[in-house]
Amino acid sequence: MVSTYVTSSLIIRILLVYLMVGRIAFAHDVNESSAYTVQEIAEGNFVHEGNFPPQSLENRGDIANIGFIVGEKCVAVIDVGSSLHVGSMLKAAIQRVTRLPICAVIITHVHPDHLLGLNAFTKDDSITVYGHHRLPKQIRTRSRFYLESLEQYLGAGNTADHAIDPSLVTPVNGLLSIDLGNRVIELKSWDYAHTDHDLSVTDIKTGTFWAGDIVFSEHVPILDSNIRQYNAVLEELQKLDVQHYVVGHGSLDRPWDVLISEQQRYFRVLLREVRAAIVNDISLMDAVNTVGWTERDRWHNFDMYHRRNVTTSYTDLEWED
Amino acid sequence: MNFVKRILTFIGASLLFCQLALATPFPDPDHSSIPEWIMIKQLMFGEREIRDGSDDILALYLNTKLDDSSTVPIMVNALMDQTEDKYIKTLYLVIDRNPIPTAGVFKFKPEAGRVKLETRLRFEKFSFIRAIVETNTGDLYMDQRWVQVAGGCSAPSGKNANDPSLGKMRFRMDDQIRLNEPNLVQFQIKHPNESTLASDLEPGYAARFIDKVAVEFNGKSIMSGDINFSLSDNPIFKFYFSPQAEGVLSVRAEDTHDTIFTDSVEIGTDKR
Repeated sequence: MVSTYVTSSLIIRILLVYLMVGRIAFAHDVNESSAYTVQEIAEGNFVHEGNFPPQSLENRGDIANIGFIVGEKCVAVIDVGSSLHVGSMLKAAIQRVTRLPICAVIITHVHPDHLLGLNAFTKDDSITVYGHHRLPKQIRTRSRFYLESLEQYLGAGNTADHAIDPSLVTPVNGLLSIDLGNRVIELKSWDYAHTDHDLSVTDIKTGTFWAGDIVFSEHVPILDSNIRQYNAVLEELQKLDVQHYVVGHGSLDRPWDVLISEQQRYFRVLLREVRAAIVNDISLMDAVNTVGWTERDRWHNFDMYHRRNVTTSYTDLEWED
Repeated sequence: MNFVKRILTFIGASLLFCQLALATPFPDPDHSSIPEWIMIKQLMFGEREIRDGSDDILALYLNTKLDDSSTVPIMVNALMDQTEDKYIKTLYLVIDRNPIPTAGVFKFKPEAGRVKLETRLRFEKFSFIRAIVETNTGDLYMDQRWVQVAGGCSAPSGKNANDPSLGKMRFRMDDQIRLNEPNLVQFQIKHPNESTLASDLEPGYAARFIDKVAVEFNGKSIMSGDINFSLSDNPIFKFYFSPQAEGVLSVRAEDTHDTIFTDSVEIGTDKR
């Protein structure tokens, strides 16, 4: 049917073979888990540093910084990776570090690189899954698209075991403390930041702040909510006493203050130039190719996400009074 | 075939968002042999000939790199003037593979001076977008572009139809209007323009979208459109009109929940 105008292309056949090979590799790397490393960035706080996005067949979707916090009684997991494969590797890594049970899985937001590995943990009834109070709705409305995307690796119809049950999520609205045994972690739901449903985690004992994707390192920030409110969140984050941090993407070795100020600068430029474009009657069509492009050399994956950030802010700010 | 779908998924797949656009190494398909188009063309225009208008009748513009399948800005510019003898009467926007392929049917007048339309569209699948104009003499001309973004109609709208500012309109034009020549005017309506496919609509709920807009100047029609949710939320329209006197520009829009929105703006030749 629709295929008639593309099937003749040789490139497609080559790509097809590439996909099949990748799919086999994706499904069969059993002995790879020993290469899956975690590092203790602060006492009791373990992080697996993901590859730099985007997802590819080579990195097998292991593109987010995810990890866990170990108390004296139990373990809290923070984000679970983009597939059961990544989730299982994280679980195995936890079991190499401690024999304590996992009592909490915390999802920072709905994006698949943080969420789709959840079912590697949910078979165990003693685990509570925590998410922002708006996360269940986001799972309901978005996970279909994420599962479709995952089919490129697992094959059509092979993603059913990745489907997330939104009713599993214990909603967090405001602050929630969880005691892992002589170690209290604090969950906080944010209103509009990276998304409209970001949840951060603070390990009080070590002052470690798990930011999810509210803060990016090196990777261009991604705006999936509202730029003005996101800015306000960054101002709030600037005031926190952060001793150690984990961000969803990019290097964890750079000073926290620098990450915040870089991101604030990016949003300042975006806000200023989008407003100017609107005032000067520069259309959205032109604005995505001009607004904020002085920032291009300062971020990775700029070309992939910046235009989208311009569109999101422009279509919001054009209604500003 | 399944593998083609998989390749399209591969190209269109995104991690951090559910919608994305990527440049691909594939050449554009032949626009005249798309099965959906062959059917649409038959239904809309029967056996009538549609000529390539890209040399001297109309030009369709889009960005080559698209970032958001729910918000794709497009611009159609006529390459001919509107005269009493020969003018563009109707502009059809067709997206072959959207749930309602006819994204919009816009009527223009010879008095417009020149035809232009800028708006923003949703794309559900990789598809051609076609701008087809019909002249007063009954001739049809087309320009088209291949668009590689997907998911724009099924993405959660995230917008709230109960927003108190629903139906609010914004007008935009030059401070000084010039009489008897084409002036650009833009209006935008605050409206979620819900797609029937949006994944966050409750089952059984009839999507609320604008299906009619009409613009008048001093009570006389200058542009009208039959539209649907192929237009992005907060539908926007930019076009020319050539006023012969000062007066009032008024817009009337109607949505599928039978709500009528109206607003107007005074147009003067003095700096407002």
